[in-house]
Amino acid sequence: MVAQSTWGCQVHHGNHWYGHAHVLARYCGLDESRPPRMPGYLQHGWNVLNGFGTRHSFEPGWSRFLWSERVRRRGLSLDGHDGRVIGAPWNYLLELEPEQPLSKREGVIWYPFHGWEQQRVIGDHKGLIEEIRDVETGPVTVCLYWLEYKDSGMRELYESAGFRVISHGFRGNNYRYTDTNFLKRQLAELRTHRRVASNRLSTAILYGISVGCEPAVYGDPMVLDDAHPVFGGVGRLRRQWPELHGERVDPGRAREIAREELGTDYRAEPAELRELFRWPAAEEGR
Amino acid sequence: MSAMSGVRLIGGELVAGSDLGGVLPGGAAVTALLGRAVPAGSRVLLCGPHEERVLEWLLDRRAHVSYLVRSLPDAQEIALRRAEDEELAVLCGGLAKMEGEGPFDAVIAAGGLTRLNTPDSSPLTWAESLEVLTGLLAENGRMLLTADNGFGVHRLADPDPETAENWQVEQDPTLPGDLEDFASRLGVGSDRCFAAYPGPFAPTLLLGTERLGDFALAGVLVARSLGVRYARTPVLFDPGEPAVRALRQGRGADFAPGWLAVTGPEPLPSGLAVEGHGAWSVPVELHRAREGWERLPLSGEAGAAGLALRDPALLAGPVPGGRLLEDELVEACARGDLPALRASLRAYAAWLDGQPSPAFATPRDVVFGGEGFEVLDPSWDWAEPVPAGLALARSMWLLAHRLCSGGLRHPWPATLDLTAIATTLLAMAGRPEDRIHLREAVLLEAAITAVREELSPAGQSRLAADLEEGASRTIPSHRDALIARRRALAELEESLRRTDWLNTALLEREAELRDLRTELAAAKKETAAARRDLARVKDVLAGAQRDLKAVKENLRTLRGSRSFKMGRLATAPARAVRRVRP
Repeated sequence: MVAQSTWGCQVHHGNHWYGHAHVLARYCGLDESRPPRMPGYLQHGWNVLNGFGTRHSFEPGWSRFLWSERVRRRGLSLDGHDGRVIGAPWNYLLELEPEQPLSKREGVIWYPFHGWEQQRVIGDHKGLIEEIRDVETGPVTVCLYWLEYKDSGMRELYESAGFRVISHGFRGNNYRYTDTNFLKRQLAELRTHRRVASNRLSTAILYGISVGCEPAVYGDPMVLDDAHPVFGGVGRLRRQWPELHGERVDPGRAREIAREELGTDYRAEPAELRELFRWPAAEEGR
Repeated sequence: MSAMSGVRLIGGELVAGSDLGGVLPGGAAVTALLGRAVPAGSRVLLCGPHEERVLEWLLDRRAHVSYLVRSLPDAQEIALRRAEDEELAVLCGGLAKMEGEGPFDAVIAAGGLTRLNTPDSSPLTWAESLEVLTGLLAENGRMLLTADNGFGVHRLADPDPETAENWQVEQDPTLPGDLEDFASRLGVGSDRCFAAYPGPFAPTLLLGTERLGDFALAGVLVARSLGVRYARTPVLFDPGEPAVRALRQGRGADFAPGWLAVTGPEPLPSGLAVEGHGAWSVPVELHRAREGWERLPLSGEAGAAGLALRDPALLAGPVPGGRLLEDELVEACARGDLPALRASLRAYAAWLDGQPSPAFATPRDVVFGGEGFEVLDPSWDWAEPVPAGLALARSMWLLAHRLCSGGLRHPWPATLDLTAIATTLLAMAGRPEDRIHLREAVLLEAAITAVREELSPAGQSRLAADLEEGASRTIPSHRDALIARRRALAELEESLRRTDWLNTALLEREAELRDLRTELAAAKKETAAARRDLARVKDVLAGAQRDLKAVKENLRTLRGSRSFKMGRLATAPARAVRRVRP
């Protein structure tokens, strides 16, 4: 399903990426294909900064809707801007899509660290494949970012290693081509895997932990082209969350960290979100 | 003796001016202690103006009262009012002239020693005044004396401390330094002393020094006492907060507004609290029990007014310990600790469901401690049933009102108004549907407060309007005002920056629109030209079609002719050969 363009009545198109606004609208009992305007900026991914990128410019006067208390504190210390912690939209999706019993889990879903439209990742994918083979014993699913998935050479590289190669979809841009099934697809995939792994601590790892996957972070962490120094690089991630790094990590501690970072305890009630976003009451019969 | 007025002038009287304005020393708590200082039928010196009920209590106990006041008009007024009381002698003048009077079995000075001086005699220091009073006591005579703590929170928070009379000793070096010093100057142990709140002279709360260490209870009582007193008085900062912090740090007595001592052998309660306002006020003694503390109400008459019912006897029993729920919730809001706030609200909502009188169990009335939620003052009831949903809506409205009107820090954007915050709180409590009760809740709150605080009908409707608008009955402190100003400036700056942003965005859009309009005009021109071309082409095409039609018509006519048919017959063999050999 591709959502309709609603440009012109929204604060920032980042709110629609991955269908986040759509998940929240559905949670609030509203038409998920046409999420109403959200009066602020919604954090769209896990982040070790203020919840947004360094390239993000903010229109003054709007709230920032954040995933976690830690991100709120960082925002306050970085630019004095307070945020409203509502937790990741992922938590709301989990509430809407409870896990079916008896789902069989096997193998690993591996997320190679990806760049995005404006920053490439520099690294050695062949070397990474070797490392994955050394560590993983079960079947391997490699999930590529859509840009890398489009690259048939990249896809073949992983396929030739005997890995299943998938992509969760396109997160959308300027309210167009937003794949609102992105997160649902990711959730379905994570729930069929026993492990979730990456060469960088990232959103996907936290999502995986939250639905019961054993996490692992290993392999060449690769380098993001032109990464802003304020992010602190890979070293900062390892210093802050050493417990999540390695081929095998303590699942209990991992769950605690994921809970904090995804702001699971901050998940608001539908009526709270409706007040916060000034959204209308739930639609009849929904 | 001025026989005309019934006043005995002892010398040094103030000929003009009065000390009878404002709140007079005494009150229900002090009166309740008099029994420990004044044996029945004793000779009593009442030093300085006191509240009427103190005098009444003494006269009821058949005490022989000498009432010393310094102002002549005051003395005459008292003597006139009490002309029938033979046991009362009204003395007028300065304390310095009291030497040689007495002896007295008890000296009562609940208003301290400052207002016993007059300009006619050289002002006595605190120590000298005490010496005079001690000299007036009979053997084993007792004293009830209050001292104003110059470092008490009431002084620190006072925005305008210029209250001392200009002829008084400014910095009296003999004032007691702390409660211990005060006690030893009276020749007693600190166990004969109380810390007095919310002010030194008409306290509604007296806490024995051993009581001050029990923070779980003392904190709630002190915060409540100061909260009521300073609800409508301008202050530099809310005195409740530092007073409670002082208690927590074991410095309660150092920052208490006053100290009260009762000498003599009578056992004292651990504390005294006045529950309720005005006619509803009931003095309650606090005693140490095997576990925690117990309350003993001193007047047990049940009463009713409007829909409110009150049975003070229900105050008897263990005192709930813990923190005031409202303080907990406000703190969670300030920290932005939404999970804690949600958990507290849910637990409170579930507890409220089972309450027999939920109308008197708002977060302001409830403490949360080891025993879970407990109502601080269970003596109230409401004659009409209050559904739990309505009670919860009222509680959440009150909390939202406190956050908004006090300009307190909370985790929601400034765009959320009172109703939106109350609705959010209800949703957090897991009862979003109760928002339909919010309006009714405001009226209920106004009705209940009107009865408890003895408001007029006009006062009640004003309160309802204030509650609905989010206006505050409380006058914010200077500190609150500074915080609110900073917040307002930040919001204003944000709005201005937003205006700039929108202006820039608008200019960009206008430029874009201009370009698009130019493009549109050009495109329209091109379209018109293309239309004209198309029309010409259509004309040509129509002509050509007409010509073609005519040719076709001619051809058909030709094919139908006899000569054409004969020709076809003649050429048929040649055509057959051509088909065979292509």
